[in-house]
Amino acid sequence: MIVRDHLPLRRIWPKVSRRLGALLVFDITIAWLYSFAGMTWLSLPALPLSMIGGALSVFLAFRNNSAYDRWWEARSLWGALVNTARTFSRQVLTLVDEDPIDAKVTRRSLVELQIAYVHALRCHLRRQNPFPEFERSLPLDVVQYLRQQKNIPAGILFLKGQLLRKLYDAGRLDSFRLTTIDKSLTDLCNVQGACERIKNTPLPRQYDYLPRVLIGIYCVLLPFGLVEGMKMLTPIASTLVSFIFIALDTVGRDVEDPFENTVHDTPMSTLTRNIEINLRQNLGEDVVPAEVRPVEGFSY
Amino acid sequence: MFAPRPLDVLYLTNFSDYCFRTIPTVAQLADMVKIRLTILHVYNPALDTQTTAAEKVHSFFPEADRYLACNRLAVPGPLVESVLAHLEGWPVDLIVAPASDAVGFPRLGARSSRSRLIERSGVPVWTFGRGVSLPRLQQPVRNVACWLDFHSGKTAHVGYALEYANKLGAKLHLLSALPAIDEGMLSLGTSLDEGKPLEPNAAAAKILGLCGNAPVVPQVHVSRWSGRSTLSKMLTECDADVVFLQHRESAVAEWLGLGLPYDRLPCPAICTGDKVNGPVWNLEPGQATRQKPAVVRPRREHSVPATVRVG
Repeated sequence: MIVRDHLPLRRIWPKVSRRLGALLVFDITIAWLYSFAGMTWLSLPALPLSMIGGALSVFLAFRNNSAYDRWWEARSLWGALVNTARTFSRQVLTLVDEDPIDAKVTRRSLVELQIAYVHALRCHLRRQNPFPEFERSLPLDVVQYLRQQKNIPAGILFLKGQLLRKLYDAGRLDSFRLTTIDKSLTDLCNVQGACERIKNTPLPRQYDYLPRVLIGIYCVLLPFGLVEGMKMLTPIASTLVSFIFIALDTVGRDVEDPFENTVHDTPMSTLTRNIEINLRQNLGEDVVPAEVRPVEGFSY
Repeated sequence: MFAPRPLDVLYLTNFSDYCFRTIPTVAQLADMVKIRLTILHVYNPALDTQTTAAEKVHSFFPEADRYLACNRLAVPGPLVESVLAHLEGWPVDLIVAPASDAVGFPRLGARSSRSRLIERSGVPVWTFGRGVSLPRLQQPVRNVACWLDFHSGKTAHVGYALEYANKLGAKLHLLSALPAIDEGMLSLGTSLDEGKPLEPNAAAAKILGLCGNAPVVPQVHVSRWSGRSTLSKMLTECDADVVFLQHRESAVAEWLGLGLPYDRLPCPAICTGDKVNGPVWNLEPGQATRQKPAVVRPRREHSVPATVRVG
């Protein structure tokens, strides 16, 4: 996620440079043929092109809005996840009765599992292997159990549910408190499901493909509409207009998949680290991991 | 027999998109074999201070702090010289060097840093470019390819490929292409150079000879050379997740700043230069590999013959 106050051109330019370069050469050719080779028939009336440009703008705006909605929903879901993780940790540490022998261990295990859960969800959404991260934080039998699971975050939620049930059976939780804590697990599960929906359902391909094709056609036709009035200035005007359309298309495509391991992602690494710091402080640990700061204006 | 040891990995980052995309691959590797990871950022002292550079490198790939061994460093540039100086004090087994962000302009005469690293470091370099799809970087390594080029005569990378495929439990594909046969060659009836086979079975036999008694049974693919896309096609056919190859770059492509030829391959490449400093890896299996039941592979004399596919 970009957190600096401006978008550096060097991030956009490489993605549009080839198309713009080709269009510039094409525009110069058309302007030269019209101005110096006497091919005046190359000119097209500007009115239809203006109408096409207007329609294309609406199409692009609609598609970019849809892409932004996905990106924002992903960010909101992770905001909800941060809150629910903190709530769950608070509930476990304050609502479960003390027991001189076991309860402290079980409560700590539940919070450790919550930390593992957010890391596992980040990895799950980025299709990243989470197990090297678990080697130091989870017991071997838990890691072995999780290796058998297709959906690792869901497996961790199940383990947490089992631990809560044990506490209930041991009389350290009454049914009211169990229901309250279990609701937090359900909230976590709902957030995960919504994230998976965004991850597994792409923006309809028509929204992705048609604007790209139509922009290509429009940018090719544009110099024909401008050349009569602008002569050899056509390449400058045409390339500038093309840049706007191509950049809009690129921006939309950048944000439409918010869990794809790019710098436009939801900043899950930063958020999971924040959750871990909060939860470890809840556990009373003095040494907590360092905060993750934006790198080169990008929070990842 | 030396005991297996962790793979010392030097992960270079300049925070490009490619650096971020590499993270899942390093995570997979850390699960398959034991690694000691060093994340190194070489900064420009004219633009950055040591403090900000260190802060940046600590915020890159933060989850690696939870790995068994991870070290982070920020050192002032220039890149290649700084990396070489680092390697003198801290030798590594593998350099992970993703591409930088494209600048969008041709950079005439600007030589790739990765190319210079491969040539001068004496360490295999893992890299990839725009030809690799994201899912390829995220999935575990199941197919390891190794490209054999009879023209260069260099085979140091074969040992790495054998060890890598063996310890990761992946299938090994040995790839090579024969020169296109023209009338001149047919009239001679034999190769001008005894070291370069012209016939598929001879090539396959020569390739298998390089493997010795290796514990992996390779699959040999020999094809006719049909231009620069030959390797890409073969890699796609065998669904390779990584390819080991000997570094070669044409002088013209180098001057034109076209980027490394591996940047257009469909999978990441691990490249070795003319000289290789360290011994062949002896990888210590990671958690994921340790859990798999041990596969007893027959010795070569008793094994089924390696599959040879001639395309």
